[in-house]
Amino acid sequence: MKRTLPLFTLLAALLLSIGAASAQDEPVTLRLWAHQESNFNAATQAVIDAYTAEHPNVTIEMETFTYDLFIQTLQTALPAGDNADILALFGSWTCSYADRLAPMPEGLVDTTAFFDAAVGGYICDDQVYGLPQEFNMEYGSVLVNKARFEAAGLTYPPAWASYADLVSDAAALVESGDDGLMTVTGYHFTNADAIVFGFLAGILQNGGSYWNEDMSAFTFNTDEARATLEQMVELVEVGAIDPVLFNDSANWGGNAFFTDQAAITLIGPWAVAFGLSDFPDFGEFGYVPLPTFGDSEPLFAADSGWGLTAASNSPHADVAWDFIAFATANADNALQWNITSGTIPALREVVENEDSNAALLEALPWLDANLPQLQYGTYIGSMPDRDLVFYDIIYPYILDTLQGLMTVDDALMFIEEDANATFN
Amino acid sequence: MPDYNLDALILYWLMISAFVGCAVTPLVYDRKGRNPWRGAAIGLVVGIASGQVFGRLILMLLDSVPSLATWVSLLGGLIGLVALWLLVPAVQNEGLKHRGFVAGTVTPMVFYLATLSVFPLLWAFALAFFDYSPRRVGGPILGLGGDNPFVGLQYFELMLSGAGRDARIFQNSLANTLLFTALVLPLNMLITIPLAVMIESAHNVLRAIFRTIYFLPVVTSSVGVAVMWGYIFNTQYGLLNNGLRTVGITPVAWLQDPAATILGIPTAMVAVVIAYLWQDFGYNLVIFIAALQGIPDSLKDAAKVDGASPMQVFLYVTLPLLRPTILVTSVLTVISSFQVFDLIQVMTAGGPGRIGQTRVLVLDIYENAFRFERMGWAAAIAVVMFIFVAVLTLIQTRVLRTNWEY
Repeated sequence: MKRTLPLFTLLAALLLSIGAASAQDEPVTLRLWAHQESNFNAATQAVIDAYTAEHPNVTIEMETFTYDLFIQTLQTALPAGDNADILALFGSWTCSYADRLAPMPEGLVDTTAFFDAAVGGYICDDQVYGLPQEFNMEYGSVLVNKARFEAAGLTYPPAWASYADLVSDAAALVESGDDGLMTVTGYHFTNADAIVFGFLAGILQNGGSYWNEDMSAFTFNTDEARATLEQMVELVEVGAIDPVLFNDSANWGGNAFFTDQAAITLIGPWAVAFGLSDFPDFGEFGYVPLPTFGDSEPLFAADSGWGLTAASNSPHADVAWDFIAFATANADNALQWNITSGTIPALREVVENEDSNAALLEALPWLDANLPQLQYGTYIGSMPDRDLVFYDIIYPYILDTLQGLMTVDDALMFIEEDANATFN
Repeated sequence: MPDYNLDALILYWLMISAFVGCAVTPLVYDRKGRNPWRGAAIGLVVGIASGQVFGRLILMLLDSVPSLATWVSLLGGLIGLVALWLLVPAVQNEGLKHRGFVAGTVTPMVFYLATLSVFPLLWAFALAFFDYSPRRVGGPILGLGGDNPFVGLQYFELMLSGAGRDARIFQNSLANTLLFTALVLPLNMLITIPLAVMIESAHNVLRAIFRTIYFLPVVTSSVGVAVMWGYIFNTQYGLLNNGLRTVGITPVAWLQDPAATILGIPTAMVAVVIAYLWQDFGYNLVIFIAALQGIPDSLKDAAKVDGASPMQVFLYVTLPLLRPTILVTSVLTVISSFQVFDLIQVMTAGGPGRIGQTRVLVLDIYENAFRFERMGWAAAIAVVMFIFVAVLTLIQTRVLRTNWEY
């Protein structure tokens, strides 16, 4: 018996290792769902190809949907259990889908490797449900049109020392037609995202917060919020923009800039890829940092942008998570994804490593003004319904205020009341 | 682990086996002299049971070849059904012959209507009493309960009270829908009835040409119509504002300016009403032309002999005789006005203004259900809209009903 025991142990170990090896090599097919966007999809396909080259037993099939259809498909497929294994979600949505997502295996990736703002949305009740691929920066820098600045006799690129300098340049850049209608806005800051993130950044830079202490309620009716909104109204009063003609539904900022109807536009760098693909002959432009609202650092709030999550009902959630780590936490793969998709990196190493940083700026030179500001970004915070608060509460009330339909005080009161009602 | 989705397969087994069961079994029963309607019912039950049992068995047996297993498992329902078709004994009952085809075609349609239309309708009614979001897992039965709790009549009480943002937006959407309908219905009738009379009096060839021209917008995509009218009403480059500039009038931001009104009605609402009428009136026009052709000439001739002018013939003969047609068209117009969505979504997206000067009920339902994923609240609005349409239709039927024929 003593002789045979080691033999049995050896045999058992051999069988187990064979079993494990065969399990590892078992063919696995994963489905990945993403919203349709050519640059994003090309970037994701490249990382899929790289992963499947390293793991020949794994096949990943990407299926894409138009943005609205993607949301509707998630709503119907997830409850029906007919969803893909890997879901490319917007970070700030992730917690609302957490019930249907597989948490990250313990210790798979150190989340401190990502910028806090980028990964914050993927962490729900201290559990990680996904990893980010991009830093979604909507506030901090603005697009500037060189020809417009030169035609107005202004310095290009502008280096605004104060908010007053920006207001002055914006007013000088405006053009109107014979009928009195504004044809070129000096500063387009009235897209929904621009208004919301400008408002949040203003509150932070004016020294306030839009959350109460335990982050259980919003505090929008504050002196800091009032100061921010009054600074926005000032831009309208000096004639830098006509918010009736230029807003999210009429002359949207990205189009307005690349069709030469806006000299300065507040929009995230993701819009450049769209602009250049639609208007490849557009003249010289750049990104420059915005001056701060107050005297503080250029603080801003940011969403967690697009990233990858694994569905809890996936029979291969472990493989899905292995792919997610490969795509997001590996610096080379992350860099390639950001270059191809034209987005800001979520992984600190890509920004902080000199070689990666240089490679990124060589491909996307307009990010030069954005990368130094990433350190000032904080996650927007976990909201019960981020889209509702942003696009159906903050944006319409502020736009109405800018259009002169309601007072600053009323707007702040309604924003706070309606936003807090979303917690019920 | 399997490479198939069992939940989806269970559904496929159910739908395919049920369809085959209730479509083919009546024919078999008919040939064997049995009651085909009973055959349809038995076929349905046997098909469903056999699909679930044998589908699962096939899946287990062919587990090593998942792609083959999923396809073959779809045939599971046939095992029980073929046995039924072969084993059921023939009887002599000549009276029931040849009804198999009817039973075999009607029953599957009723089954599909019940599962794909009636069930979702009931489901929508049920959702109106739950705080349901597809993001949350909820209870074991259709995700209701648990994190998607029962809220009773809370949504309806909220709608009536008007308290809070949701209720304010609902009341505004309802008011906008009623305003839209109140503008569209009379304008549609005012345009279509006289126009139909004029076209009907034209030469046959011209009549066909006019009918085609006026009907073309009806068969045009609503999104295309909305884009076209969006360009016409565009503030900076629109055809309308260019015309106004030419005559020295200051352009108007028709679709964007919440402060711009005509007779107290927001210009954005006026714009979408015009676009809607342009697209929709051809439908009623064709119905009215057909109705006018059905009015006997002898009635008009008798009026003319009595000395009635053309206007009097129209007012006192034609119009009263069109009453049943006016009822049908007005009911259809009210229903379609209540359902307006795509045109407004593309032209104004419910704006301008924070609450939305053109935000109508269907847009509110869409936004809540598919943008903010608040299916319960959206379902409650849908129920209210259903009640409104039903009541309005009932009132119209009462007011415009006739008890005579010609």
